Amino acid sequence: MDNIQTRVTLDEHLKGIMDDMIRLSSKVDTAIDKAINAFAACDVELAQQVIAEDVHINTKRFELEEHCLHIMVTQQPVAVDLRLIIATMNIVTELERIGDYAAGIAKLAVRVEMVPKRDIPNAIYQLTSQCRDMLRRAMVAYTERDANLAYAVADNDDSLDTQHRLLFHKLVGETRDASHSTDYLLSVLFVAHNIERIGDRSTNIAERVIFMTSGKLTELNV
Amino acid sequence: MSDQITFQIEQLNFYYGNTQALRDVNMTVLPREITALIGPSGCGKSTFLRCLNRMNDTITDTRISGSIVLNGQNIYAPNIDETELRRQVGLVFQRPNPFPQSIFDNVAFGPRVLGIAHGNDLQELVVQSLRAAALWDEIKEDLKQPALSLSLGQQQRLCIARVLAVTPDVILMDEPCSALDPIATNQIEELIRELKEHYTIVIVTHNMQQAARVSDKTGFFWLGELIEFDETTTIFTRPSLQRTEDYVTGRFG
Repeated sequence: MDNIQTRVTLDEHLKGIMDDMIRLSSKVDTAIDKAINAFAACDVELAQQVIAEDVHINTKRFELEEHCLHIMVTQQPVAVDLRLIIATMNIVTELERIGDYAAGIAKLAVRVEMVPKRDIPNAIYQLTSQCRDMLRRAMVAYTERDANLAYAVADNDDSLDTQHRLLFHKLVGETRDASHSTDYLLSVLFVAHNIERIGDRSTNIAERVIFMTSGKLTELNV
Repeated sequence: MSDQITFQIEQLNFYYGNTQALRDVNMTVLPREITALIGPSGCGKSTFLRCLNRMNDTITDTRISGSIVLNGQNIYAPNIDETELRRQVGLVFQRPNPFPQSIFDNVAFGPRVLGIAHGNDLQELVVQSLRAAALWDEIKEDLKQPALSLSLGQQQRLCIARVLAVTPDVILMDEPCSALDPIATNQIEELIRELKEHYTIVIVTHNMQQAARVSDKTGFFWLGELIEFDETTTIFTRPSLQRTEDYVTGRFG
């Protein structure tokens, strides 16, 4: 049983889907960054780029699912290989949903242009930075098949949720202040909600990495 | 039959001359379960299967230690009647091996030799066995036709009918589909699942998808050792040991 290369084709396919997943997650990460910048600067052109890019993200998601189906049919993967395919099919759906959250923020940027502009709270940037970090680390856990890193990603979600709650209460308080536009504050609330959901989706990715590496189906941060 | 355990195998070692083919194998086979044995060629899975009805006794210069208890009785005890054991524990071989006789005489052979049934009872037993082996509808018009005129898939189901005719508790199958085409293989696999209702089945297969499809438990043998034995779903989704994972995923390194 030594050093016999027997699943070269399967290994090439698996490497292919993992590489594609990294490319897709990078696109999604960029979409989050651009969406927040578009919202903060009321940059309609940048926002429309994000909305257009979401179509490509959706298409890529289906291509990856097709590739997974092809591998299942032609290679009949089992055990660790099967878990990788199943996890990938779940994670690609999470990435697609994260792309939708970014597009949702971008759509607000287009709408918000109509209301008086003011600086968005720093907490939004902090939340965004944290959720992007979670997403990136969840995807590193996926490519490195690192369950410990996946657990660490889930730990970060608690802090993200706390920050989101604080921001929520602060913004709700500000809506009582007549000097602020309610439309704008509600938009910021919606943006914060989407970012918080990106954190949740990143936790879902971490859960799938744990399944992929150990076969354990687990819910983190219940 | 015990309600709890069909076979209790403990510390089983088997030798062909000086070559040790099985090492300290422990396994529990439960009633009306299908147990699949997988592993590379020469790993000991067929040797193990043949220990279960003492078929290895027919090979000279072999030695066995440990115990195999069938329904509470050690099958290697001195007072065991090997013919009765092989009635209780039937074996279906890799290639169909019908006798060069009619379909009827093939199935009636065992009951006649063992004096299980005669006359109308024998007729009925043959029909029942052919029905249970899912062959009846295809051959009922002419039970006198030579068994060797049947297709390979039909011959294999005839061999299963021949085993069923002596009313066994356990059916052992040694790669029963390896000589068959995909349709005949599907028919045998469906039959195995139906037989599970009444019989305990242990099957050796090189086809891992087959093990995954038909069995409740799977044992992975390697170099004479039972490396891992667990629920089939577990073996094919999350095996405990790297060596099992390397084998079932087709990587040996």
